[in-house]
Amino acid sequence: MTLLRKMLPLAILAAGGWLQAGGARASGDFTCTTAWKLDQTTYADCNNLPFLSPGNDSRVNLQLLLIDAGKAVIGPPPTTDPPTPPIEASASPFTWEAFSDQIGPRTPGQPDSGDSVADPGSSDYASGEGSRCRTNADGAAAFAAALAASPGVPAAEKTALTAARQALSPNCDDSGPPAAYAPPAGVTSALGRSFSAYLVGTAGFYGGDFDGARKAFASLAASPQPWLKETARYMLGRVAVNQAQVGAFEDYGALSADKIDKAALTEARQAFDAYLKAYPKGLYAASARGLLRRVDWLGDQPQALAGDYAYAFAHPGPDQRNVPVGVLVTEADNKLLTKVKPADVGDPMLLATLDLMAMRTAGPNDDPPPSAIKFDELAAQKPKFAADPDLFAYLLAAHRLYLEADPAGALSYLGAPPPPGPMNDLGFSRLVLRGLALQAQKNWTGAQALWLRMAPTARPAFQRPMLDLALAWNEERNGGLTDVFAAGTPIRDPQVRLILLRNDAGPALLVQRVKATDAPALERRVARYVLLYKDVMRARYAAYAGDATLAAPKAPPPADPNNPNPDEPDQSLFDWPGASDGYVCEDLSKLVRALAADPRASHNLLCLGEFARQHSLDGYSLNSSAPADELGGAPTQFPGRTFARLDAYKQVLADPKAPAADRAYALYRAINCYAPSGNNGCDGQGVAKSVRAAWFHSLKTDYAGSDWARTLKYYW
Amino acid sequence: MVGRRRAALAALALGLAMGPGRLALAGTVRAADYDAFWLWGGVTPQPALAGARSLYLLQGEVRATRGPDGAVRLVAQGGAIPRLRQGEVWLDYRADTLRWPPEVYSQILARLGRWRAAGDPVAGLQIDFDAHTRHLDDYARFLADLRARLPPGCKLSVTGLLDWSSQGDSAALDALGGVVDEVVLQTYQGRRTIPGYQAYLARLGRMKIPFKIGLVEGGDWTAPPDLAANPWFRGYVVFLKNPAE
Repeated sequence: MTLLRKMLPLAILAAGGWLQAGGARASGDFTCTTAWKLDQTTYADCNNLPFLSPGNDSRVNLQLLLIDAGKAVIGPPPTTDPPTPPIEASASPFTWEAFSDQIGPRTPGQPDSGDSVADPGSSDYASGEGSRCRTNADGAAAFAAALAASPGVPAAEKTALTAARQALSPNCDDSGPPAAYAPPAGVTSALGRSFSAYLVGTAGFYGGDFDGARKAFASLAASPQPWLKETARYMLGRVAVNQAQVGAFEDYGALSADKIDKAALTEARQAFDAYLKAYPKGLYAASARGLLRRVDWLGDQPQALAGDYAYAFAHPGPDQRNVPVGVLVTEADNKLLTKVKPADVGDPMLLATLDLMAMRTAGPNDDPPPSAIKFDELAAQKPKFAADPDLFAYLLAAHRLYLEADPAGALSYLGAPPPPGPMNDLGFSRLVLRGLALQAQKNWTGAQALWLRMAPTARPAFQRPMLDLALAWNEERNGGLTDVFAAGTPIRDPQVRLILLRNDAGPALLVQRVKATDAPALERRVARYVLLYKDVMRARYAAYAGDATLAAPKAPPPADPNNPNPDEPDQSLFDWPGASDGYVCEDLSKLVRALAADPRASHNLLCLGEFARQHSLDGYSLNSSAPADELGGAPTQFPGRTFARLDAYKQVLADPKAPAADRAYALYRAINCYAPSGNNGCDGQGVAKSVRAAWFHSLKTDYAGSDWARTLKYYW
Repeated sequence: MVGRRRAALAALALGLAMGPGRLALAGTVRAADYDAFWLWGGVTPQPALAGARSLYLLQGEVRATRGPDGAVRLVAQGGAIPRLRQGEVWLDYRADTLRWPPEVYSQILARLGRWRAAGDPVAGLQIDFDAHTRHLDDYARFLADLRARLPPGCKLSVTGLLDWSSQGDSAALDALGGVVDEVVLQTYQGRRTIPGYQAYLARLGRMKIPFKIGLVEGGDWTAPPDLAANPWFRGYVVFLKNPAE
């Protein structure tokens, strides 16, 4: 029976449902760039944070509220294949999928869904795939068990009836009319005939003859056999809810609310209500409650549906609900949160989730979202939050900060900070918002003190690592970069530290990190790579030779050669042997020495261009800083400007001392910066098409004898 | 309204008469100008679908969960089984992993069987996997295995990234050609056309497998001048959005 109890709900709930493409928001691709900041109002797949935030996936915000309500837990760290670092131990923003995999409680033995892959009856259906046929195998097993437990049915009849039930192999998607069903002959006992009637009902139900099914199950609603009586009463509801939606999913599989059979829907509600009244803890109680959600969804009753979800979240018991909390969150998101208005929702958790969504702003690649909620609209929700004034105040403060850029207004709703102590998710969120408001006021030391005060009592999963990002972002803007790397720093997150080294660090700090024998080996290798790269590319030529003698521990071979650690730098860049074909250059060490002696010599500039070109260094992330509002976005402390190829070519062309061969090659390369699209693919300031035309003309006439002139056929 | 629809249909008919890609399309992508579409979960069907020759309907996502067993599972997405009687329709599956356990194959093939039983004109499966160019050969092996599992008459389509044509190892890309019936190259990311997408298109001449161009409704498209003459070009697929988006 547990199997049946487990199987029914999701199967039917999702039957014919129109499920959204999850956290991907129907984007059709998986690309998402992590934004290393806490102030997020733009939704992006990969940028969820562990506090209530408008930029979060609505399901993450709802989960955080459910954790506070004691209705969900952050589960034990999952195992993965191949193993990946646990996201809860990282300061990085994360995806909904990674987060939800940690959320429980889950049904034992089931990762995060209500159905079991191990069950043969469901192996042909994906998780969440809808079809009333999904219950056929479990139903057959339950029928056989009930029959076996009925001494009133003669053995021969039992055999015939069990075989007949097993022989039912329905196709719920057959486009043809329902086939007639003949129960097995020779069943004459009174109870045997009842089971036979149940068979007729079952065949009608799966075959799409709902009128026939209703008639058969109704005849059993007062059966003296308890399983038949209870199951038939429940099946009357299932028959009606399936009948209500016949033809309601139009050509492309989407629901047309106006094609729902309203009378059948009413009948379904009455049948399930009657069943639950008679069997509040019955075999199918949780399933019936889940199907009542479906009735409200099909009936387009947003207020009732919001109430259903609030009830379901609050009542996780096995008689009340048969889907794990993570699945219910996704269902609520698909069926309710993306459809309803705040006015339809009374439950504070669901309403707060909806309000945070309504505070989103459009990202650079988004279409504009519907206009954001206004402060007055939010304030008018006060009665609905009577039981949760802190949550309400949080929403008002978030509106002030995120949408009105009014940090003082935000702080006025956050009250005095509580004494240090354990924080639930709302408590943590309130303090984070306070810190963001202080930083918006440029009160760096106030915010830093707050982050530091939160650290000892922050939850090790998610909260504590996130404070590394908060602290580092703060230090970066408050002249505290070296403090981040000082002994005893609280900021240990490897990615946070590497971002600062790549973007912000000057030569002295980089040298210090390469030499730091107590630093993680990867950090030392990254520091060395960044130092040498920027020595070369930002014209710190004289220091290069000395810096190149600094040693960092060797990199271990990657666990998976196809998936090298993206943070592991390739130090072989600095072993560049130069070029012996085409435009001839000496190796990198000699080139840098030559640049130190004469940084403007055309040959040196062209060879540095070759180094950049051959390694595809145009547009490389180390050439510029992170966006100004993200970690790594403060002005870099590394001196100089990054070498840019197109600028170098122009410099050669403007140099009267440059030899003809160098000028020809500079023209050739400068023109090629625009191949093949007509857009400048090189770093450096672009030029008008007329300039490129003139370059081409000059190459073809002034340097007509050069290989470069002969090779180039077009300009772009 | 009626006038506009009729005009659009006339343009469509003209396009068909001239063959795919012969229509010089430029500017903002309007659904009414095209006849093949992706319909993703949560997107409301719109009138342009009525004239569709090809539909790609999202059916689910194969993803590696971080559950206790690290299992790879198929999660259903999209709508109910369609009830189409004209044109052709594809079952579209996204994947973030190629380590598919046996039940994922059986679930997908069973779904395909249910579509056929429902009378839908099933063309085949489309796999939407973000294969990096350097892993194209792995992807080709996976697809060859998948292809061998498909029932007769079932085609295989994949979405592709624009840089496949510009950076892809052409041998690996050609290897896909023996395996898939078409590649649909996406010119958008998220819900916006990729800025500078023309730069990638310049090398479409390297493609030696049948390909379509994937556009996003409301996005930008100007066909490169030599596209219509490309013998491998098979037309467009437009990713539909909701009107408010």
